[in-house]
Amino acid sequence: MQQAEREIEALGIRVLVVTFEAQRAARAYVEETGTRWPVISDESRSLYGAYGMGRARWRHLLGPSALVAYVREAVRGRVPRWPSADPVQQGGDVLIDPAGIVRLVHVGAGPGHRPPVERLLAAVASPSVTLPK
Amino acid sequence: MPRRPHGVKRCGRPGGYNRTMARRAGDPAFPFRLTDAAGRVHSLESSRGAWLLLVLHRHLR
Repeated sequence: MQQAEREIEALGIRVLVVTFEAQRAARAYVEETGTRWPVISDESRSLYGAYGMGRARWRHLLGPSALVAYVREAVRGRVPRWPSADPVQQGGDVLIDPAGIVRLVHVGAGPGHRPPVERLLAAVASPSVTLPK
Repeated sequence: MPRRPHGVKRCGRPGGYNRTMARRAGDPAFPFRLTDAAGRVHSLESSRGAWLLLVLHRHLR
């Protein structure tokens, strides 16, 4: 997603990266990745719960699509490591419009299950667009 | 313990959520006030007037 940073910023979209890990882990992540987006800690996982992100199934974490995602990361030079935090917590993307209304919720089943950036951008351009389940 | 209605799943961890209560497209966003790695506070209110993309990560490492 960071590769589309310019397009995202051009549309005036503010991005907040959310983690359920502690601030210390968030700081280490910022230093490691150099991300310019704020990384906020939601240790109570209230945002995760509010948007339906619960426990991933092991078949989604270790299945073929997950393997493809891990290989893709390795090709980019980011060798996957065994997670130091809860490995089954789901993540996802939530797009909120300027009035505070949710326009898109995508719950990732496992690694690499993310909506294409183009779909997020299309949702901003045309707020009625939603992702297929 | 009260029985859950059919089709309602509950998260396995304490304080887990109810999937049927999860917010969807068209619902008001869930209010939050959280601190980033640099110590700055971010909230839903402070993002009013602009599109906001929340990228909720799985584990960071």
